Amino acid sequence: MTRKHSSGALFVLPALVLLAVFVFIPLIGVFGLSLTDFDVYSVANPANLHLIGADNYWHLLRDRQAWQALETTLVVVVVGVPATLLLSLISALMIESIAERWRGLFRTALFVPVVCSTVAIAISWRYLLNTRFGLVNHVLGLLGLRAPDWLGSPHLAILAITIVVVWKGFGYGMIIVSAARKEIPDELYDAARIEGAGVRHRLLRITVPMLAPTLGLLALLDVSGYWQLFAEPYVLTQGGPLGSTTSLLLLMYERGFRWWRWGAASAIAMALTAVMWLFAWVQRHTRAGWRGD
Amino acid sequence: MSLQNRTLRAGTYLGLAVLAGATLFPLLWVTSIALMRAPEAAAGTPSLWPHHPTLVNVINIISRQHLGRYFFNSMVVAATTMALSMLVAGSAGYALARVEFRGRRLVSWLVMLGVLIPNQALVLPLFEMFRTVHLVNHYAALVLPAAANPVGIVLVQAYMRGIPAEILDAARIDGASEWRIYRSIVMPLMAPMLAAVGVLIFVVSWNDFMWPMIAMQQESMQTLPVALAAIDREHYQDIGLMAAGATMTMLPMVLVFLASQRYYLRSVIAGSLTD
Amino acid sequence: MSTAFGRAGAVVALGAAILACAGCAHAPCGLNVWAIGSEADALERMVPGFEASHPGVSVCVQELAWSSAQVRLLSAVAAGDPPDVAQVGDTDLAMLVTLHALRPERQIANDFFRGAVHVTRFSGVSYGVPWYVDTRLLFYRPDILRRAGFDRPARTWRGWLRQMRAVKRILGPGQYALLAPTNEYEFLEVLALQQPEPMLRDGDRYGNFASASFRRALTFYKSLYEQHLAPRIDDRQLVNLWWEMARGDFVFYVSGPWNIGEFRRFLPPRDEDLWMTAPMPGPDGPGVSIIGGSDFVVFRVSRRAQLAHEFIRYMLADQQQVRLYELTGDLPARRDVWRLPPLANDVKLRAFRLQLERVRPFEAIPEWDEIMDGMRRMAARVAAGDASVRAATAGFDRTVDDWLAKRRELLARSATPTATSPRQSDRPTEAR
Repeated sequence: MTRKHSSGALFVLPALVLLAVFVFIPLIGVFGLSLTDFDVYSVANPANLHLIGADNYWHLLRDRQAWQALETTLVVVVVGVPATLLLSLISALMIESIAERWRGLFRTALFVPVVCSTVAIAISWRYLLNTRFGLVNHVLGLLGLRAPDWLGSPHLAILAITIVVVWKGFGYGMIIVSAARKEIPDELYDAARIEGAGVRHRLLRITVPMLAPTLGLLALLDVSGYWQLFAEPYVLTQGGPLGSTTSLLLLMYERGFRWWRWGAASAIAMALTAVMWLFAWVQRHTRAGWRGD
Repeated sequence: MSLQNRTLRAGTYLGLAVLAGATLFPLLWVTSIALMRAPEAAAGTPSLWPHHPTLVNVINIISRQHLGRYFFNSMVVAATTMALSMLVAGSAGYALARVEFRGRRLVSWLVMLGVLIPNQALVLPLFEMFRTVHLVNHYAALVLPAAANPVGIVLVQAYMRGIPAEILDAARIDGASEWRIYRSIVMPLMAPMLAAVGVLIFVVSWNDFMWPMIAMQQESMQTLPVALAAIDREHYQDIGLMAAGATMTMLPMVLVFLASQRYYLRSVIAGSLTD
Repeated sequence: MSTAFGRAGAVVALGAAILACAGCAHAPCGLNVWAIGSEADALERMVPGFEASHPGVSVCVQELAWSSAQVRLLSAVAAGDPPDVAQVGDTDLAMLVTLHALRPERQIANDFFRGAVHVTRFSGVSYGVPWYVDTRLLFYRPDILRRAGFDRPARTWRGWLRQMRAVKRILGPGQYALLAPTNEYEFLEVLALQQPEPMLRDGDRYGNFASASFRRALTFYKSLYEQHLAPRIDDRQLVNLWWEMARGDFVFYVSGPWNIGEFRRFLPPRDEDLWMTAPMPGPDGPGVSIIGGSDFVVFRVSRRAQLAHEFIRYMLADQQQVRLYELTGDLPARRDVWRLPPLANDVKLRAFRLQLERVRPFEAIPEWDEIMDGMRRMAARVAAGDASVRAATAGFDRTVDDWLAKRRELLARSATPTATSPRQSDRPTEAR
């Protein structure tokens, strides 16, 4: 039992102030900015700032670049998240099934990319994937395969970026799935074994369903992370070729800080946030469904 | 053991070895390039190993690109952010889990809402705020927003919920002030979780990119990844130099990770078990 | 555990101290100067000489990054807190003039490149002193060109095209006549500037990219990729363009003066004869190119204008202009300096000297960088065969008209004093 105590408010006060000042007020700020034509002329002279209602949003709707960025970001989420979940799941189950003394080693090896700076990772992969001198194509060449133009082809570049993102991200999910797997009672498996269930049966009928809530949460974390894709295209491709790797956030950054069109950039930021909430809503409802069975 | 089981086991080890190779190889290869002389680094047929190892790239990136300065900035920012957010997340997480007060549900809800706001979407007004109070290009511009990390609060809150309330109630009946309870009982209890949150936030802060790039426009104030990206824009063709820069940026975090694995992994795991 | 928190507390205290001290007193600055990137480094090394000749004056040089210099200058002006002197490039000058932030400047020398002075003028008043200049021209492989039967690069598009085709025939697979990275806009900008009609019309109120002039430039640009004379790659896909050029992977490359230093940095001295420079070919004869570089400006609110001008005068003296060239490779804005060593002795600089007399400034409006970036994206789609020249240029005009809407509105209210007669107020392109 806990007790009513006025000092509770004091304990949360610092957190509340920080959240208000650096999260909630800026969120209101983004929304406010998105209704204006704030740009470089407004910095020069506040008299050049006007409220323009939803104009920035209407512009977005018929903006090729914005739709392309939405598509790009969705591709990374739609391809990258399931791939990450699958890799996280497989690697976690594999690690949990091997001898105890080897687990730490493999866990560390698979987790290292997670702690590395995205910028540094992107620089490394740019050399690995270089079409003419990169090691990836060199190996493909040795295997007698045609060398694809990873970062130069509008179709492949976003795939290459997705590969990098998944490569860097799956270790995080692996640790989480690993922990959740430990929570599944052994009795469930013993019972299934007595009934003569095979490996596949135990995996599909016990492990995966029991891990579903964890995977659901992981999906949300991954979606949230991949939805905010920025550093990888910024370093690897600068959004090219042909704009095929310009993510929503990269587009927002360019509009905001390169061209100083803050109104337009804020509309993109709001759209980004709205879709994020949509994802969260969908996730919550799907997970509730899982819990029900 | 059946043949099927033995094949499965061998396959598992093989699969893990392949995965580990895939994660480690790019990192090791970049380190290897960092130690190559210029012509070898960009040869038509890439070398795996520096045949004539040299430190010239590492020396260049440190001396000519002032890497030490950026390292210092990153250190100050990450350490301060870590300490501040441990204090903030510790007290808030504890109170939300174990102290009853008016508006607790509202605050809990606000913290959860904070988790769901993509923080990189907020950089425009944040920049305007810091510009107005003349704190752009100050460490505060990186530390304060990063310390408002709702994830840390949620982690501590979940952890504290797992600790039996009786321990605290006994102290309250003794008439100890809430502050004393916090200092002498709660803090030691949640120390492992706080340490984990601290390491997590240290790593996140160290690797943060977009906001630091916007907030630190003065070169001498930039953090390591921001400076690395800026150097990359000018010197991307100098493979050895950039590989050295990438290695020098990753290495400290890998070392922090190896040294603090125990705490770090705990916070990652706890993150999955919230709500 | 309390010791751990004690330690954490100490870190916080230390952090707070550092935060607090971030604004704490330096030695008082007699003159505040903002400069960008490597020019800031160079200035810092030249400042002691100025201080020695002005006892008691200490100059503080603050370094900005190219990517954020504009934001920093604008913020500082908006906050009423600019430096005394700043290095300013391209569109930043137009914006600062619009803001009434700068002092009009008198010419302090009479041997500046005309194009460089031209671009500091708005409504006939000059607001900056050219510091160094920049343009784009041809880097090429003389030996391969000779093997293909030509003594020197052609002066016309037609002749150049013939040379590129001839060269392509004697090159190996995967080798190209021209390197024109699809993520750079300067090459196409040069081709477009060589045309009679400007890229914007009606006092820079509307896009003029659907004009016959621009379409001609874009068609030429597109044909280079279509005929496989140039690869459709962006510069991120190069590992080391200087080695690649030395290997013969590219014979021509349109680029700027900093590449002289880069070639020498990456290639051994024995390879010095593997590359050479030449002025840009034009549609029907020697072609114009863009003019870029940086200027010194003095801010209107500065109370040390006298000292600021002495500083600028010092930095533009022969010795300092040569020193800047030695430190950064930046080309002196004053013609007379080019008669001094080491500039006078460098054969690779001669083409730059010629080209700098034949430049055409671009439209000096704050939106110009964004328009050029959009043009680059549009041209890349055309080069990739995703859009026709006619459709792409017409569509791009609509986009540009959108971007210029606010400018038209301000001009209608005549809230901006920028001189707008085309090609009069115009400014050079980015210096890097």
